[in-house]
Amino acid sequence: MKLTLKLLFTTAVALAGASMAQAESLADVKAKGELKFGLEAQYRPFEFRDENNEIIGYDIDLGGAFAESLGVKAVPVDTNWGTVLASLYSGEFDMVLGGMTATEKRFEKVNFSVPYMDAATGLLVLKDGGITDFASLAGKAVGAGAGTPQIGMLTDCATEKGVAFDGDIQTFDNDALAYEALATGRVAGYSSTIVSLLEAAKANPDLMAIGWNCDGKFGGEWTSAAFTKENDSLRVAFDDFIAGMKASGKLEELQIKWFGQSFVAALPDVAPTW
Amino acid sequence: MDPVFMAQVMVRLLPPLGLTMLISVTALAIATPLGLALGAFRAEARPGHWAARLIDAWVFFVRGTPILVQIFAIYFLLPKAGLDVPLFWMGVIALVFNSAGYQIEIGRAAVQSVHKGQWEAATALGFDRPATLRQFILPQAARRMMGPVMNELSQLIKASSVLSIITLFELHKAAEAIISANLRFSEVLVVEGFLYFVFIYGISLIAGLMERQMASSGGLASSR
Repeated sequence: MKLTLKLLFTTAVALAGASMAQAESLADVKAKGELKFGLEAQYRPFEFRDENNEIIGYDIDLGGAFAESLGVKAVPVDTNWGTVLASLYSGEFDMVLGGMTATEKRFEKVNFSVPYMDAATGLLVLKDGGITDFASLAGKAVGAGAGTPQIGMLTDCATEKGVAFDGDIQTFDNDALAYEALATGRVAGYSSTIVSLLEAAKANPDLMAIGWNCDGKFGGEWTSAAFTKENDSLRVAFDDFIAGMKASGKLEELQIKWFGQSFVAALPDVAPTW
Repeated sequence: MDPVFMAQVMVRLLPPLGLTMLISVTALAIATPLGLALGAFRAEARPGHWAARLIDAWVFFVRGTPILVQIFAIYFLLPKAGLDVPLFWMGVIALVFNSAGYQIEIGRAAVQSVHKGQWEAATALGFDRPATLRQFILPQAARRMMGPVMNELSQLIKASSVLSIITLFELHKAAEAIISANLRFSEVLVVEGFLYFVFIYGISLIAGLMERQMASSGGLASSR
């Protein structure tokens, strides 16, 4: 059993993101001739698989353009979202470009790029389920994605507004599971970024996405790429790349292609730090 | 339920099913002989022997931890140990590690279940222990292993679905990807379950055929 404990402990250390693996710098990426970026291809329209099982989406186009600007090949790596930061540090990919919301907690482990998408939070509900705002979630079961910042937001807001849910917040491994739980009435509301929820509502006419915010407390949630703490040269290159995409109007083009509208005007020009 | 969509899903799931089959059969081909041989060895080893202790530790670890933890441990620890193992082989190692752990116990129990009188009779005829094990005990034990081993085969194939967490694009991961892209759940789940069922049923048929053949030929002993 000693061995078991030791193994579990070592795994825990690895999962905690201890920087054991050698992070690759911009020069290394260029030397390798390929840019690997981590994501989980289950987050439409950021990344998902088409009918040929090829990964497509906003992040894929963006990562492809970034790799092209560096003169290297783009390699999206379809990883497990719950352990994405541990995989980043174990060297499985050079950066995370997977629709990640920049949060203070994640910032303890990684550095963020300038925001490349709006990550305002939303709530998906049944159209005729009677949920119209946060307060009407009282006594109802609510859900959020496993390992997403929405869990903390729901908890904080519930405490602040004195709203008691039915049981603990239920977490789901991917959004599609949650949409099914919503449609079958297992949860009354599911919180994720509004852009992904709008997409779900488009595909399922029984559902609708509503924005929610705790008195402006969660204003300014942004999607950023994530890099290891030691790997700043690649992050700087990515920031420059995003600035160029904004100036040339190409970022707006990509957003209209995948989200049906542009969020570029609202995006801040500095990387989030805490 | 939309049959046209389900047919499309089926077609899309065939290549990932191929990976599931390849990885499972590779793992089976390694785990079964390895596990059963170590089990037979364990049954015969002196209790304090260092190899016996190592085997016991293996069994305890596999039995005492979820396969999810085992897979993650291999996935994150091998690179840290400086081993650059391709993803496919990481999956095979995880399945072999898990399944052999259970099959050691199957092999050990089967060998130990053969009546002591068989040992005594062989000794009386002048056979030494290794020869007795090989020619009398193992053939009888082999038939007793068949049932539990078949169980373990289907367990291993189903456990391969957990490899989806280490980014292997096998059947379950592919099904999840289709669910996410189309936001349709039940149809994909039904097709995924059906494909696992067909594969496991096929493997069971083959194993059953081997079992009957072994039984009708009187076990491995008749070949001598």
